[in-house]
Amino acid sequence: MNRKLIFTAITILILLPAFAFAISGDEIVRRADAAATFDTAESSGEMHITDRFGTKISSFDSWARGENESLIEFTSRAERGQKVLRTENEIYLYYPDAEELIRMQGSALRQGMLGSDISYEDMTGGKDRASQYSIEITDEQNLLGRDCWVLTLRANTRTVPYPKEIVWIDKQDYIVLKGEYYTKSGRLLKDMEVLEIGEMDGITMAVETRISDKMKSNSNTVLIMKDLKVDIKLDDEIFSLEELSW
Amino acid sequence: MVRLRERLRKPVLFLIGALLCLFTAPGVFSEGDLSLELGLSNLIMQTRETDGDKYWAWMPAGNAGFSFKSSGNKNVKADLAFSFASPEMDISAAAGAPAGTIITPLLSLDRAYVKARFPWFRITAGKTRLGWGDGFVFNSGDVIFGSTDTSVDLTASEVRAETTWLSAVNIPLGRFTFIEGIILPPEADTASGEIFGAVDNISGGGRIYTKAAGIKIEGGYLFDQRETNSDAEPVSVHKPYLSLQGNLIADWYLSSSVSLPVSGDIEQSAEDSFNLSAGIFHMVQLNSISSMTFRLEGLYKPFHSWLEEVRKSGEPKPSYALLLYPEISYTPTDTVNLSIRTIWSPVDMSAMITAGAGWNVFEGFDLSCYAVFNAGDPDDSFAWNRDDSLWKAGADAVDSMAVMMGINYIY
Repeated sequence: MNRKLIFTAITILILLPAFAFAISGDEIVRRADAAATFDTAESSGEMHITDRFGTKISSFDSWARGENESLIEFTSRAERGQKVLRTENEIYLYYPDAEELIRMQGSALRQGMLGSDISYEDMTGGKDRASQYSIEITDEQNLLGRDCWVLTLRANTRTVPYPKEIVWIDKQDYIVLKGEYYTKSGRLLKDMEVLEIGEMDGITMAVETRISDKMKSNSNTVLIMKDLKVDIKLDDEIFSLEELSW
Repeated sequence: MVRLRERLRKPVLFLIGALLCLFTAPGVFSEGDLSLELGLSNLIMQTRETDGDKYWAWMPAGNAGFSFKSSGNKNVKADLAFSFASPEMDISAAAGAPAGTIITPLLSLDRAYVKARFPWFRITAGKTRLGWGDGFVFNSGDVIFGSTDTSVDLTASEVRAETTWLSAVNIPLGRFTFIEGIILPPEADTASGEIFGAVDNISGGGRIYTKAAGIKIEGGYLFDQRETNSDAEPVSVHKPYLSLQGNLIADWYLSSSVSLPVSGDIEQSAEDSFNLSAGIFHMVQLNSISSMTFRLEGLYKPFHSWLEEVRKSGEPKPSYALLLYPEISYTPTDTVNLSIRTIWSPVDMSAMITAGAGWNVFEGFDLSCYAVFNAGDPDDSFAWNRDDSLWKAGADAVDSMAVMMGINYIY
């Protein structure tokens, strides 16, 4: 009997730290979203959009503040000067040749950017998934030489773009290394996979990510971050019609 | 023809000179960006011979433009864009065409402007466009260019792309609020011997753009001296306008304007010119890659005719109280677009229907194919067989239908 008690006590003592420091799925996703959200950010990058006819390259500069404000300016030749200003509930588009400001709301936010597999929502949408999904840890795996949790997220609101997500989150830096995005019925819509991790402005982050829309055959978009500066001072005017139409 | 060549010699030499300067000045490229756009199309259409007989025509056409944008200084922008269309057509001999009528000019200056941004305001000078009001085909708020007629090319991505010489100042008053002032230079009045426009014929105005309770509110005014009356005499008019845009399930927009002459019968002019355009736009995401968009626009002129009028030779097209523009667009993938666009005149039950397909194949490279059908009686706004006495060479090109296939490349 004593031996049983001693064994139980030792087992509890061994496991106690693990329980004490166990992290919930909500907290993992919250930390991952926090790691991908900056008070302010200025970045530039390229989208390599590949389909059966080859690869189109669109380059862009972007500025973001918090979760809901962003300005994207396309710098590649075919779209040069086109800009998208995203606020909480609306998108303003600016076409320089027509000198025209177009304000859009509602479902227009789900459009793919320049024929890519990335929607404006993917690019600029709010990242507070912990309050929008029920989250559970379903597995642990190793990707890109990094240990990660595998989490399943099920939406508890209809306002999110994907009703179900499975994400692989790096245990060290809370980077989402892989993601699968499903319809409510379980059909895979989109997947995402980090191809390269690097450091920019002192932050370890995904610098090359491939996104494939499963509804399109032989199509994917590789998003390459060329430059990133975070938590810098950004003027209010950047997220204004004045800057958009300049 | 010799006269035409003489007239074109100077602009062509200017264009060649400008191109040579750009291509031979490497410093320019380091501070700017040069892009070229080429569009080539083949048009098969049913049209008329000069004696009025119908026949099927094949018309190769093209346009090309180069655009130079400065990028060296972030507070200064400039853009210079030319385009030409081919073939040039002298239709002086065509039935009903005034002598010397030439359509599709060989060379035109699309944009030539400089913008400068100062801490509190910015200025624009040159030939460009300002998008006042809201509307894709019908926009009553566009008092600068007037977007209420049906002479539009529904095969174009921007059906209203006209530019004009102007000077403008834009003053931001907040993130989503600005005011803008504009001056339009006077036009030459060669009939009265004025080769250059007189200073007292300047047109000008301004607008305020803001947002309140989720609705975009835009109001403005233009004092316009570029108008002419029915006797082709210049008149000065006041053009106030109001434009609203918001979202209630679908995006909606509404614009209204009126032209009030400085002198003359103001009440009659107000009735004749008052117009209101409204539209709704909605996108339905069918799945993660395909979507459909629906747009319905209307142009309402309440004091114009609600009854179909019988047209006679020499009379202008009747102006009816209502025109509608329904559009359905289907995007099966992000690079392919299918659309049906129609301008429908419900009063005389005629329509111009444009069915099109566009495909962005490679970076900057697009293929497109459009078919245009006119449906209506011979004297309607749109007619399958235009009445012989109403056919106007130059003004009317397509009698029944046309099919266009084209490519466009920007590099």
